Amino acid sequence: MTASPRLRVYLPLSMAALIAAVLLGRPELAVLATPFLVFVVVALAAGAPASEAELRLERDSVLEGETVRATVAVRNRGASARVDVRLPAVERLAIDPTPRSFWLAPGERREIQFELTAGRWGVYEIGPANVAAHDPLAAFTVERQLGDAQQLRVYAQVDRLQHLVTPRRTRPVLGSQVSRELGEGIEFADLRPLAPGDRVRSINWRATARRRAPYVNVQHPEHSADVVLFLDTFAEADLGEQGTLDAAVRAAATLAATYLARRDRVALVSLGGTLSWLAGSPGPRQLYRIIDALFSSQVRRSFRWTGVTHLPRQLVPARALVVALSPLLDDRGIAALLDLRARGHDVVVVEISPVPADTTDRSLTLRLWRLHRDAVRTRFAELGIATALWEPPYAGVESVIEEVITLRRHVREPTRV
Amino acid sequence: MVFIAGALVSGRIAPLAIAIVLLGAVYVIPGVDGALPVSIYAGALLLTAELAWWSIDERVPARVELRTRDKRLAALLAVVAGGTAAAALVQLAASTDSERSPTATTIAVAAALACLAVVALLGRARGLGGTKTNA
Repeated sequence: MTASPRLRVYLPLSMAALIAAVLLGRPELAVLATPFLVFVVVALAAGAPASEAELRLERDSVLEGETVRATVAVRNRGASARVDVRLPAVERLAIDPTPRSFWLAPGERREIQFELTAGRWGVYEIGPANVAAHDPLAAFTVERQLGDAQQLRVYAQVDRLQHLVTPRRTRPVLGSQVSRELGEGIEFADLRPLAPGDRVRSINWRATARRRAPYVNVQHPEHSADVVLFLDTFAEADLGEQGTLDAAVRAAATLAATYLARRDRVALVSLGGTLSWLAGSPGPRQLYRIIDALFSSQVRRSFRWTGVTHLPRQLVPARALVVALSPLLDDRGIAALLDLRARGHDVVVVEISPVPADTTDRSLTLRLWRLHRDAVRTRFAELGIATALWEPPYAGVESVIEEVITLRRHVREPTRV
Repeated sequence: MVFIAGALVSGRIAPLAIAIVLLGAVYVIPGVDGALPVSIYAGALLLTAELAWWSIDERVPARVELRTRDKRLAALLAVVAGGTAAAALVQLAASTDSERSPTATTIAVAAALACLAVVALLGRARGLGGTKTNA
């Protein structure tokens, strides 16, 4: 309980005036002190304020940019009081910091609502609420943190892409991607002479008539593919509203959603101070698993040299397409990508640049740094890794994926693992 | 007035305390003829100090329900009225024609100490060892 500082003024002043009145024989001093003394006595004799509160959220999961209501229910267990309620600030979560003040009679209960807007994906802890109860004269205040903290999960906005980087190799499971292999499907591939076991309906009658021997159509089958989303969390350039890791997570969620919609098998590897992964799996459930795993993505400082050698082999299948989302700020992340390529994996890189394209900075340091990055990109290109640059403000992942598709046509194909 | 303005601007209690002392001293300086009865002046002094402190309280931005302000104003006016009435009683008791004697002085000192004891007991009952305790 906190006493108002004015009680520390009123009490000594009135007591001094009373004693002076007696000693000096000036009754006016006692008369002047009396109202102040009455104020102190009334404030001390009044019942102490006390309250209890509970905090709950309208929903425990929202999408980025959505608003969720938090309700603080306050009940007065003491004397009548003015109650101030506010929710503590949470980084990257817009909460109205203005306290709400209201009057509560003894035993009365009141619900106060706050609106929270999440600007960024992640898991946030809301509360406990700061509740301050003041007596009617505002002489005493009881301030406490009440209500259990609640978790709010904010999911990244997931867009659907029109175009995707097509894996060069597929796995023999039904999917949406036209395989390069020959078999049964819709897409015409070739003609070949009839062989025992071929179905009659696959005979190409025109070719058969022209060549005077039975020929059958051969198609490219529709297969699914293995895709590994590779998140480089060694380093991050935090640009205030949106850092490179934010952009990477958003792009990873979008890519995962689109690949999974095509019935591909998607895995997630997060390589940084700590190595974490999610084994590949198809289906909508995998999207939720990936998004949940992305929540825990954060840059953890480490000087340990974590390489892809720590990854289980079955996590990055031989036929998998590795889509790396990296700011290319840490040599260990670059080395891991080169290692994957050296193992023969099909690798593409979305380079999340921390420097805007239109920057006016012409300093020598920045120019040298850009030269270094150009060298890295050239090295990647020589090894057959298509690298597309994604610059702030990271508007739409579609355009950068299209750039990867274009660049991929000009890089050499990986040799088989 | 300068000190009250200083308290309002700075949001600190010290200038307000000085202002209360000075306004009280102005009334008791010999030769100054008070236009108001001293009990009303004392009540007005408390009201002025409380309104000044309320202004300092309200500097913290908050969405306050109108009813809350009404309740505080009512409580304040009630205390000021009660304080003024008590001051009038003290004034009445002081104006009675009685001889100044050691006995009367002793009774007055005892009454002042009793006031102090009552306040101390109430403070202890509220659990106030200092100005801030764990509630």
